[in-house]
Amino acid sequence: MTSPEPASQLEPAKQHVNLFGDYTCNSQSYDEVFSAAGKMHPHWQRFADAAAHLSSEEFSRRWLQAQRLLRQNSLAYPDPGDPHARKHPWALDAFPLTIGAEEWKRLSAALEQRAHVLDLVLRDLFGPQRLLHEGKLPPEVLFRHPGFLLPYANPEKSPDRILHLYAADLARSPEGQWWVMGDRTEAPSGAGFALENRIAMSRMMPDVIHHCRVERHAPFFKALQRHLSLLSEPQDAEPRIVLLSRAAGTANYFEDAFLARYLGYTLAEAGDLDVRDNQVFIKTLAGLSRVDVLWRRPNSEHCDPLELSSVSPSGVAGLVQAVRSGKVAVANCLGSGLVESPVFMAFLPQLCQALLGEPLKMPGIATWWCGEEKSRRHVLANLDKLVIKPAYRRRGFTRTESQNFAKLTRREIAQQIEKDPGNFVAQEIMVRSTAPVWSEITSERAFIALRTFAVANEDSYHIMPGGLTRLSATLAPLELSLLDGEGSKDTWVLAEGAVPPVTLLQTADEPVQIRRGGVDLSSRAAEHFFWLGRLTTRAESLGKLVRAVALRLASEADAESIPELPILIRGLASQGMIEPGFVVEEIRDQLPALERLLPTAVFNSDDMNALRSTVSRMTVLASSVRDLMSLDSWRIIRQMDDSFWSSPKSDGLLDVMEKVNELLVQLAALGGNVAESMTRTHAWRFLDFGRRLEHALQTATLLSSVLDAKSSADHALLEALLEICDGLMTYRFRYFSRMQLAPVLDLLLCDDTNPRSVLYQVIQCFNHVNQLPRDIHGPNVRPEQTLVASISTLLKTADSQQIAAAYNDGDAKPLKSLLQYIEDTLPKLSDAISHRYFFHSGPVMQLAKISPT
Amino acid sequence: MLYTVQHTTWYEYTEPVPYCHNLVHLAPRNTRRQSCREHHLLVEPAPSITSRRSDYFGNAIDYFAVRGALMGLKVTADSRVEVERAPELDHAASPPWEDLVGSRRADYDRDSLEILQFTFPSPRVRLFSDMHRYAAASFPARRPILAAIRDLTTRIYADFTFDSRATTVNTPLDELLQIRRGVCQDFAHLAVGCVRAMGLAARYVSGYICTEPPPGTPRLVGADASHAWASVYCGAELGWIDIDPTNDVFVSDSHISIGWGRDYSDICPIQGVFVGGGDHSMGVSVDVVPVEAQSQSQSQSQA
Repeated sequence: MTSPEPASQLEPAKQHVNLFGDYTCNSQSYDEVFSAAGKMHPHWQRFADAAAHLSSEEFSRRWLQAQRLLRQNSLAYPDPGDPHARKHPWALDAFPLTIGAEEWKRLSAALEQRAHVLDLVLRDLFGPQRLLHEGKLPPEVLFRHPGFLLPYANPEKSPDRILHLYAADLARSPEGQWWVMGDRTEAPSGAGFALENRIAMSRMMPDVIHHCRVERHAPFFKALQRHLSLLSEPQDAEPRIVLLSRAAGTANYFEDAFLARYLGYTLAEAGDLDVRDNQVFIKTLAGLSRVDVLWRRPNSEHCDPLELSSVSPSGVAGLVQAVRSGKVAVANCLGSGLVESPVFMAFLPQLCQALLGEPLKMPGIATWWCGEEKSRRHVLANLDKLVIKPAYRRRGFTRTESQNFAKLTRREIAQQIEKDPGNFVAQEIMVRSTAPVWSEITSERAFIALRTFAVANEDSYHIMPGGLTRLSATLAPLELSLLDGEGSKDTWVLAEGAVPPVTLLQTADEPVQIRRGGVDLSSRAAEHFFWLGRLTTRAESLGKLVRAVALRLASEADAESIPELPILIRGLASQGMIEPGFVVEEIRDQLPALERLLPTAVFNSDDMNALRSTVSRMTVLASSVRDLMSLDSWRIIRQMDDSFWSSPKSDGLLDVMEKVNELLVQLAALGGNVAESMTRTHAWRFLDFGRRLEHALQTATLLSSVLDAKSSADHALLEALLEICDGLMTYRFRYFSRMQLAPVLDLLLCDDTNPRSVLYQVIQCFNHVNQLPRDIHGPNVRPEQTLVASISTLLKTADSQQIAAAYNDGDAKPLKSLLQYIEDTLPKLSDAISHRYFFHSGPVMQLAKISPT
Repeated sequence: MLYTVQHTTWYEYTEPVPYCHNLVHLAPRNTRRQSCREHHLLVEPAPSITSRRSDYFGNAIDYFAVRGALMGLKVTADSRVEVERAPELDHAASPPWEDLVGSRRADYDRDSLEILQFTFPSPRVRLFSDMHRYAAASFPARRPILAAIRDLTTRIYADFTFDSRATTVNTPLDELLQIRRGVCQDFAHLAVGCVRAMGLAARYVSGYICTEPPPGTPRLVGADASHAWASVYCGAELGWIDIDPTNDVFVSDSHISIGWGRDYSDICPIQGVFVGGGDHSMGVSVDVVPVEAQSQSQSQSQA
């Protein structure tokens, strides 16, 4: 509804009109803020009053600040496995969705009941199946369900609680009634996003939140912590709880990392876990460490390649057996995803009645299962008024398949239903409610859906007050991933009384926390640090090389008169930054192409070797070990990544130089932050080891690609080398401007007082190798010690004068063989370290099967 | 008939394996006509943990794990099983097949659910129209169920060629219908699928067969392998009737069953997962020897 009167300074109560601007409701939908008559719903008055003192300018200013914070902490990241995924910052609206205390009480009771019913259904179907005997559920629904995984089922035994974490997608109908649109029982995601939204909103308007008396999220997460630790058997004072995530870089990985950090859990992937004699262990640097409780994110069928080999080869071999023997608790229990298939929505009213003897407190969206004759006839007669869906939620049902299904004509759909009716359900199309979305120009309207979260407590469920409000411009179904959503709102449940201050979170303003990671550091985390170190240094070396080339290309001098330019370009090509074809002699012909290619080497996200990709990989690695590094380090990495995404389409040399300069400053800041503020734990050691190793490798590779028999080591080339390797200042101090190969080689390779020399890196590597945890039963001298010592000896005994003299006489062999040795040995060192510390075991292999004949 | 069964499986690894998990369905199940007198499972090297339970269908399943730098693993299952000859069946007197098509009802007792669950698609037996088309010829209206499945068995035997190189353990049924070659596992899945496509209950049976040597030649020890066939629900009176399309017979006392499931994935004789690099090779031998025959050739009965 429009509120045409401009806000008046004299009537502060009306200032909310400013915020909502010329917002109008849509007559087909219920509006969350305004009634059809244009009056604000009573529970919004509290927000309007609380925000009344904020001018639009102030609101805008705070909003920009909150956006920055969100970008820094963003959990949204595209799934690399999904070609349609796009990178976009997590979109949060400045207006919350508020829900009054009374209404929330009803919703919350209904959600508790629904979680309880779903749990009872699961326990019955994986156990005695009384619901089938008593005719409450057609047997076909269970027996052909691809999620009915027999290894989890045992008709002889009634299982304990299966559903520990539950989420429901709700929507409000035009009459103002909340409906359940879908259940999430496998491994519900989104609680992390809800938390993130709340953190951003409390930064933006702490005063408003306080004044509105918004119920906090912390009690929910406390309940979650308490519940998960109670699952541990035997009761342990400090059970080890591991959040089992899907692979790094997949969608939701950032959310998992965030939640693990927030709740103090170890983040792991299936490959980090091992089952030995029915006990689950996590691989750490010191060996295997026991796990008591697994909070599971992968779907059930991906959890055990032994017992579910026919479904999926991934997971933790022996996990089902470990669960069976009671040595580990998994939440949700394996198989819990069964009841999130839409087919159950058709039967839930009667299941609730049968199990609890009462009706559902909140209706689910009307659903018909075509496997029943009467329903099928109804569906076929009303095809245009219904949404047809597969009855069973199969994770294999990809976006493409569902899009293809959506494209079928009504006749084709009818044919499919006739062919296999039991495979389909139909649901009513719900016109969801609308709410205003803030924008500086005008308030827009979006349809909303609310994802709510429940965690089990003793005999019931604790409901997160509020949840994640998802926004969409259209009424398309909510099937797709959370990350596809067009936006979100923080959801405020307005308390009746005071809100007790409970928090688990250290706010971002508290001093940087560095946790001590001893040998208990998980192998995965150690590996991430090692690669993080390698990648930061790679980005730095490549950045300097790109900058050197860009500077020369952009200079006023004729390219012909810059003799080192082709040689440096060869260096770029050898690093895979540009195509190898650019090892050129006729520089003039290639210049226009180069000016195009150089930006690609920096900005192209499709190219693995481009700087942008390197930074993007750093971000993924860093996100998973964020709790072991300083907040500032993380911020720097996040900024590097963000500034790439927010860069305009850049294609000029100036853009390249500007971007690379910015990146190099950020990398220097990161290096400084790590050197100064990271405690010398194994986490730091692996990070620094990675940096040193990469630095030595980069320098050796650069020298060997630039100095070959064909290029004379002239003044300009040597100066460029010193510039790229950070040695120019020292060199000038020692030798003034007399550029000669021997002192340059000495400084860059063999000078152990130069912190940028190869020898210096190798000595640091040597120290690290000696300090890393070792197997006391192992041999005294380990292969990685031998490898690093051999390079060190070679460099200490190398005679720069002789090597340079030979080179200048046209014999590059002594130099080549020295560099070649370094280039060959460092990757071996990296492999030896990986082998010893990162892979306690290799990939899981399934034994071949033999067909019966 | 009393048999001794020895089923040996061995694996060799190219690199030491620190830990290996295994699940085996190797213990013959007791049924109306079959009783397992003895069963031993020997794992070398000795496992660090073992446990036995009943799976979802009531078959015995053994889990064991072996630790240490393994270079190989050998699993030997020794059983003594007595099997009774099946009674002669009057095909014409069996109920018409349509009468057995699973009906939707208001409630189900345990027994009827037990049957009903074998009428649906399963991981390796997806129902599709081609299968129904193939099966329908054996199921004309009102044909007695035994006559129908007798006909189906013979048609599969006649239309498909035994060829151990044509398929792998993972060949899907639609491909089988195209190439028309395969091994007993494929034919058993096909029979199961055909019966289910007609709306009837069928399960996949894993077991052994005693191959009769041609007269005058010695029994080939070790040449036998594990076997598979199908079982069809034929009404309350007849119960489950086993058909072996690989040999075109109704099952009698030359078949020993280990157990059953919806398809191979439920009753795989031996499966394992090991952690660690390297490749592996494997071998298997099955000896099914009637006890009378054993006394004649002592050398063939092994401890």
